[in-house]
Amino acid sequence: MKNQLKLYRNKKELTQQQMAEILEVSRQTIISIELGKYDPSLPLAFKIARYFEAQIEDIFTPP
Amino acid sequence: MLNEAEGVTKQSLIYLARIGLGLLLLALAITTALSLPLVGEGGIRWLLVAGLLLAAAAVVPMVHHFYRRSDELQQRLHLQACGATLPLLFSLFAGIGVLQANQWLPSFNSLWAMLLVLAVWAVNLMLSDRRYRT
Repeated sequence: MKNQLKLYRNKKELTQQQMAEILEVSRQTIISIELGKYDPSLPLAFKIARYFEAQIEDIFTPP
Repeated sequence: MLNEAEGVTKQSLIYLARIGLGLLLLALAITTALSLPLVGEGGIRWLLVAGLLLAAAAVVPMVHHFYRRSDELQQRLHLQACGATLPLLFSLFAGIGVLQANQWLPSFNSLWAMLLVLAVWAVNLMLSDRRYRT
């Protein structure tokens, strides 16, 4: 699944570590999501969308 | 950015230090266990046996505690590593058992089997981890 997490994170000028702390996950999770290697669970995807005040489908797009 | 890189290096060093400490403690425990016959029959031997058994039993709650504290990707990595390790060890120990029953392999202490489990699990964890990094 493709995603725009890096774009949204950069807009807020957040580091991966800061993003990880906000979402209460490890930095590796953020890296893997941004690389498109890991698709987050639905609760985490909702948490990300809520934080950026966006819809899930704005950030995550199915292949 | 530099601060983040420093933070990551620091975290990696702490992680490596924890693994190093864990391996050191494990080596110490195995050495102590294998040296038990050299210790006299006194109370110290019973104390050592009790301590080692307690340490072995403590692994289960410690792993559960660590697993619950992990985030969803780390939990997935561990599940994948365990999922790959279980059938591999099943085949391996079945094969070893057949060879031992046929006396083509000598019987060995279960501590070596424990180390084998740890090694196979660690390799599978590393392989699972690589899948999400590169």
